[in-house]
Order: sequence, then structure tokens, then C-alpha cells
Amino acid sequence: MNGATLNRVLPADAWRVYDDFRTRTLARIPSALERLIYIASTRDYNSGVYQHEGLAGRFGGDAAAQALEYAHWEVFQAVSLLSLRRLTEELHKYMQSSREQPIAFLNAWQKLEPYRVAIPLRVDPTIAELFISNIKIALAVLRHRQSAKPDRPQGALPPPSPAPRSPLPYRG
Amino acid sequence: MTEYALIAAATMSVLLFVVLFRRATQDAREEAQAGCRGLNDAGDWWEHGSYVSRAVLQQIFSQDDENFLNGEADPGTKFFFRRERKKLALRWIERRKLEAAAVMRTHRQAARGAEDLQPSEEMRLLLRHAKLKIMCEALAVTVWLAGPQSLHGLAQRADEIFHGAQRLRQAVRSRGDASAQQAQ
Repeated sequence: MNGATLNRVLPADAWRVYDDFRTRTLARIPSALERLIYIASTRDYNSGVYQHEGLAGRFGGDAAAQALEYAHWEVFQAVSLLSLRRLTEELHKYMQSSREQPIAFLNAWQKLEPYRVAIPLRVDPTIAELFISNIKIALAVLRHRQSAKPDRPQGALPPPSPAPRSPLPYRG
Repeated sequence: MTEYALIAAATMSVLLFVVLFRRATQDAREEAQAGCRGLNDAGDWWEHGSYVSRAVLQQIFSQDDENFLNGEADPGTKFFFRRERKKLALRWIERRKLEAAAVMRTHRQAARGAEDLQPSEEMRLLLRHAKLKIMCEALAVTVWLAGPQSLHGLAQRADEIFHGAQRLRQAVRSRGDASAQQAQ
């Protein structure tokens, strides 16, 4: 979507925040799936309002929230419309960058379905369903790849992680 | 006697087909209705640009993802993929039907109070709606029987008819608004 169209859907102050957020923060996150998880993590689970201290301090809370909501919608759309091949590769990269054991990662993602919190509040239901469906299939492909790999000896495994880790940049 | 048995078997088969098909689309309809709930308070950017609609169609109805899975996945995942795509396609069809019905409903309500109804435009809108319904039913039967892959052309045609009906409805409405302003 170009700037002229964006000006119609976002107020001018939110558009400035969006531009800043896109060039200074999102551009540093290498994969689309990581960008999506990062933006979704700025949303309050209880109120659905986006919060980002750094942006709110510089541009104001309302404009920051609007810009983040729009950025979330845009990145979500891009990830949902990836081909299954691309999405599987994105998920593979994300799994590797999480530094968790692949099996533990796959178990958590398949059982707890944490990707559901990455869906924006205001989104076309068909795109949301496509996203969930594609993630489930990509996870099944990764599990199949994992099971096709030869078993590693237990002694070669790295120690379990002491705390949840995230590859995402600090939000502040 | 054999003829009667054959006719009875054929009738039973048709009935069974209709019942199973209705049941499958009933599930999709209920899920589509649930998905559409709460969208009235949505902003306008999520539906901005029909390219999103085209891209979603491309994803659901194309063969590319299945080709990828043929070389990558086990039979269970392939089966799961086909079932998921079929479900998505049926829900998309039901959603289009619901949206088209909503367009017609609001148009009927507006037309009751309109003073400058154009019979030719009303007929065009009605024909487009009928055409869309027939295409959606044909698409739903085909998707249910064979899956959505390689039906992209037909789905895109149905989508174009829907958007055409929407545009026509908007044109009729804006002309009605303009004539009401002139009358004032």
C-alpha cells in the first residue's frame, strides 16, 4: 500500500509513527513471522490496546497504538498470504532463532497454539482462518522433517533452557 | 422389478448426496456466520484493496501448496491439508453468499423508499445476484466432491460477480442520494 492510500486510512500523526516504526524497528527484524510475533507482543491481552513505551514517549500513546495496529494488520496479511513453502521456511527460521529444542518447540506450538494471539482484532475472517490453517500445516511439515532426521545420541543434546528466551528485540 | 429397484437406488443415492452435501455446507455456513459476527465494528482498512481478496482466493484454490506438500509431507499431512483447504473454500463460498444476500437485503430496504427506481438497473442487480448464487452452489458441489485445487478460475469469476454487484449497488445508492439532494 502506498503513502497516499495510507494517509486515507491512518491520520497524519499515526502515519509518522508507522513510518518511524517500520524503518527503525521492523527493518531490523529479519523474518516476517518474527515481525508478526513482535508486533503482536506489543498488544495488551486484556484490552487489545497496543503499547510501546518508546513510540508513545516520542509521538503520543494514541498515535503509537494506531500505528502499531496498522503495522500488525499489514504484517499479518503478508504472513498469511505467504505460500506454504515460504511459511514453512519462515517457521523453521523462527524455530531455530528461538534456540529451543525443535521437538519442544513443535510440541508447544502444536498443543498450545500460541500463534493464535498473533491474529489482529480487526481482520478479514477468511485471512485469519487461512493463517491458522497454514501454520498448522507448516508445523506438520516441520515435524515430519524432524522425524525423518536420524536420531541424535542423548549426550549430544545441549542442556535444557533455564528460562523462556526470545530472539525479539527489547521493546522500549 | 429390477427397474423399480434401480430407480429406488438412484433416488436414494441422490437423496443421500443432497443430505450429505447440505450437512457439509450447513457446517461451513454456521462457521462462516460465526466468523462474520462482530465485523460491523471493524475499520475499513482490513478490506482495503481487492488484491487481498484475490490473493486469498489464489491461496485457497491453487495447486501450488499441494505440489509443495507432495514432495515434503507424509500422507497424513497431505490428507489434513486437503481437508483444511476444502473447509476454507466452503466457508469462503458461504461467506460470499451471506455477503451477497446482505447486499441485496439492504438494497431492497433502500429501494422501498426510493422514488426514482430504474427497472433496468434493478433487473441487472437481481440477475447478478442470481448468477452469483448459481455459481456459488456449483462451486460448493465441486469443492465438496473434488476439493478446491484447480478451481481458481471459477472462484475468481464468482468473486468478480460479487464485487460487480457491490459496485452496481453503490452506484444505484449514490445516484439515489444525489437525486434526493436535488429534490431538497
